Amino acid sequence: MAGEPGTPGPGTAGGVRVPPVVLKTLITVVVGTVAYVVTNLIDQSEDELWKLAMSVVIGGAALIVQYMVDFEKRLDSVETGQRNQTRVLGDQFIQLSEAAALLNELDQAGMSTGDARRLIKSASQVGLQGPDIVKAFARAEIESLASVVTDLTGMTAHWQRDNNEWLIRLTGCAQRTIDATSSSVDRPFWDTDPAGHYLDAQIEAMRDPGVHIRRLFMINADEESDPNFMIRFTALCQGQLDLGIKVRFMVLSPHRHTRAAARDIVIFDDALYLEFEPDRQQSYLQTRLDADARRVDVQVRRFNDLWESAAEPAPRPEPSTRPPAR
Amino acid sequence: MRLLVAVVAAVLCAGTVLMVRVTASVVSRLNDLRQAVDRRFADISAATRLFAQVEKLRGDGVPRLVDAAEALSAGPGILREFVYAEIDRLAAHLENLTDSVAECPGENHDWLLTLTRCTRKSIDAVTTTVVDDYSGSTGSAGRYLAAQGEAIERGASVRRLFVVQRSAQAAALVPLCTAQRQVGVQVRVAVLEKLPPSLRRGAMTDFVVFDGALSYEVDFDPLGSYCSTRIDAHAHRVEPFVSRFDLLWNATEPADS
Repeated sequence: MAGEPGTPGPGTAGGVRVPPVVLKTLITVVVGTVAYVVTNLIDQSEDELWKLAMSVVIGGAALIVQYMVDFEKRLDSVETGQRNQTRVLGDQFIQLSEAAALLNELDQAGMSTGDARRLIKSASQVGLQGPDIVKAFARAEIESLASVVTDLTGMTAHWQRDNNEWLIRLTGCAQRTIDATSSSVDRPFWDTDPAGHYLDAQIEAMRDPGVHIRRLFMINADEESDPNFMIRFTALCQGQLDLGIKVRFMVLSPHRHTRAAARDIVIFDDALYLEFEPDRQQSYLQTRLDADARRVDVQVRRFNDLWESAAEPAPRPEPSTRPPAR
Repeated sequence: MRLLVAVVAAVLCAGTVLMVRVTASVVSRLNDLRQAVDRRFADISAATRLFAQVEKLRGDGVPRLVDAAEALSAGPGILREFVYAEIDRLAAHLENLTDSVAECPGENHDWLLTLTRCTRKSIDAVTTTVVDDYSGSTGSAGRYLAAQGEAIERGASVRRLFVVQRSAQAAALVPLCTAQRQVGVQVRVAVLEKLPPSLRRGAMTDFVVFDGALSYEVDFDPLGSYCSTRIDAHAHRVEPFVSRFDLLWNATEPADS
């Protein structure tokens, strides 16, 4: 009789919500009570009762044995499955450690893991929905920065145009000094929109980390002899002086200075420099970022030499000069 | 008889106790198992999500970028800071792109160039401000034209519609049109005063639609001193550009070379 309540066992064991042992015991008690009542009701013929009791006991026992065998098998299969799963998970953990290593590398590099996560997350989600071209564009943007940064591991990177964004962002990154030579190539630059952003960034840099900015203008002899040019040029210099930028200028003589002297170079924190190189027709510009210690030293010394020999700009000629290039 | 009853009762009691114990042990084993599995999965699910993301990027520039950024940790501080700032900017840019929209101040020739290089099917451009970019001598215009030529070689169709106010202005565009045709760009010139009034309405802005799926537009503020670039891949934003281009294109005769 105790066996009969065992049959609902698998059902209750499946959902482990109520303590299953309690439930089973309760059912056993209930069934036992019912059986007791039934036996009392058919008390008259004891033989019949015994036959009934024995058949129930044997049937129940058979059921229990079957159920137990079945249960053992199922438990085995669950345990085997769990072992397999553990193995698979273990493999996944090994792969995961690559991802973890990636993040770890970034941590060690001083980059906040949050940034890396952000990049990984956004890079993997972009273009999941929406047109293919968005995805292609995003990939191209990643590739472009990746190749620049890869180049920078060799301490130098090129950009096939005048990269004013780099100029502005490096200005934002500078902590101590910005030394710039500005030749004829970039003087029209001062009237453009990026120049405004560049000046803003310089004002910001001078105010907050207290960066010292020196700008050395290079003009050639023809320009120096043109009074109109000199008026404009003086106004430009004064405009920058007013902002707190130290300005000097020098006249390039074709005899003393090679073409190399006229290149536009901006040195940041004496640690890296941006060089704007014109091509032969002076129409294409390419931008080079160089952080090689030896080459930076050469540029720093060159700048300091030039600065020593350069002249202070003339004082403001008349009050009605143009405002600064911005 | 009494003995038999006692034996049966004893067996039944013992059996019951046995069953209860077996059941209890089975249940506790199952519980242990379940907890072990749950714990494992809880551990792994967060990591798996991240891993799945990394896995998808395996062929991308991201791991390369991260490796290179790590290698730079030995470099000067300002270089490191610059690179991290660039990576952060890229992440923000990509986040915007996830939303199919990106904006930036100024005219972004890099985006224009990159999008041209990404195009597979078509580039449809309306150009109203011919003076600044297409004088042909500046580097970025030359590179843009070259990129369009490459797109055409890949099998994309490039259509450029110049919009001018008067017929006289169209003449100035001839050398420009010739240069564009030489790389295979289909060029038409729409003269506003010749167009039916229905087509003259609406803002005449510069825009480019790539693959019929992404629009690139440059907005100028009223004084023309400041502009911003916006790219948008939402169908409901791109659709008006596509239909406007088609309308203007079909209303215009192919220009004589």
